[in-house]
Amino acid sequence: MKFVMPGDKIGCKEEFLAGEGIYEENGDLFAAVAGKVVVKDKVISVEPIKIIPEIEKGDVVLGRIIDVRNSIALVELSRKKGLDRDLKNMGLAALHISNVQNEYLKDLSSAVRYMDIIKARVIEKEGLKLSTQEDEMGVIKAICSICKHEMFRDGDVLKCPNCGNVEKRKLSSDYGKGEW
Amino acid sequence: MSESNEEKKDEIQLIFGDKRLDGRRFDELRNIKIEAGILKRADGSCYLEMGKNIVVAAVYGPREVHPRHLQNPSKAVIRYRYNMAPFSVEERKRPGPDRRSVEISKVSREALEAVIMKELFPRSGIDIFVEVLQADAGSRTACLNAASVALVDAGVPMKGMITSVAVAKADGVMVLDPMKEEDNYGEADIPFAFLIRGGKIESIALLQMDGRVTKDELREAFKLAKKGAMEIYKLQKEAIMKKYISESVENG
Repeated sequence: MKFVMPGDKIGCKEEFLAGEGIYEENGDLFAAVAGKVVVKDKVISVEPIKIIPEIEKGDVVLGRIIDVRNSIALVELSRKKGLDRDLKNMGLAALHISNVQNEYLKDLSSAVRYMDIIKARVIEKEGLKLSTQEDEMGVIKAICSICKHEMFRDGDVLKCPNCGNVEKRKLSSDYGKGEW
Repeated sequence: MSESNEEKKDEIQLIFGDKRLDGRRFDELRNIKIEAGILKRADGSCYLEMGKNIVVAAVYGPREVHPRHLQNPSKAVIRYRYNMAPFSVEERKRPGPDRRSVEISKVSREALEAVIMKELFPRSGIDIFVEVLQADAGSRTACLNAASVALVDAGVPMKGMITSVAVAKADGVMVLDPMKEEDNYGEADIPFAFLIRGGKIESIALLQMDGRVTKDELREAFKLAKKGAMEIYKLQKEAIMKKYISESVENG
């Protein structure tokens, strides 16, 4: 398999369709990243040596709740599962009350709260819509809304060891494990 | 170092027949060692030795830019920091940015902005940090070479590669890749950076000059720099391939 560096000429427009990691200029095709050249169905692309994460439908992501409104929570995304690398700026993701859990949820703030770290699945790429309906998905770390101390799991609810406050969340099965 | 102090009193002889002070030919580069991907937490990194210059480059991103008002809705912002360690020069350098390093950061950033495909990452930023651990003339060129390899290592899409080399005029002769003595006692110093695409030099991404040269001397300098840049480009390519190939062997 051929290894190319950025700027290497790898063909012309008439030969192939430009795929990932390829750019076209004046009818010629050049590699934009270093990696192996792959040709599939007339589409030529470069398999890069390092992948810049791109969020697609179905990906599992890690984020932090930065705002909770009536029916929607806004999430700042930080990582895509499987890649330990910063995401490019895609804007805020949205978690709608109907996608939080399988049962009816009356109040969104009894499922997620400000500053919670959540694990969620992307159900729509446009507008970055998230879902936490699976058991694995949901809050993996939360702080007490009164004293901001880290909350510990106590059965189905979270308990604050500092002030004794008890709060409800849509908990992930990974809550408090420190991994996701 | 004590020898050069004694000679500092007066001008020193830099050219001996067809050889230079350190025994190199006029068109000969210093020894170059490049290693890609040396920093674990950086998205892309590079260690580079160019003669007595030692630099480390790290690339982070594309990632979110803070503060927010610096974001550009149509393309990525590139940030380049050239920084010299206090111990990188003979006399301790006061740490932190100064007039010189701010200028070098600016011109180097502009050279790299010409090759990075910024329009692919709107509202994001790519941060490039280059630290000079040991300086011996032409550290900005060493930094650009290291930054270029680090960017490729990070997988940032680029139109081509940036390769940089300096030419100096010492004792009336144009010499490639000057070391400290030639830079300090020579008549001129001209750092070049080229955009290399398709294995050929396509354009000049950076050109500075300190001192004075004639038109013909500049042409001569350009010729020398092109020759040196192609040699460096080969080494940059090897560094990336070496890392990539050893990695694919480990992973089966």
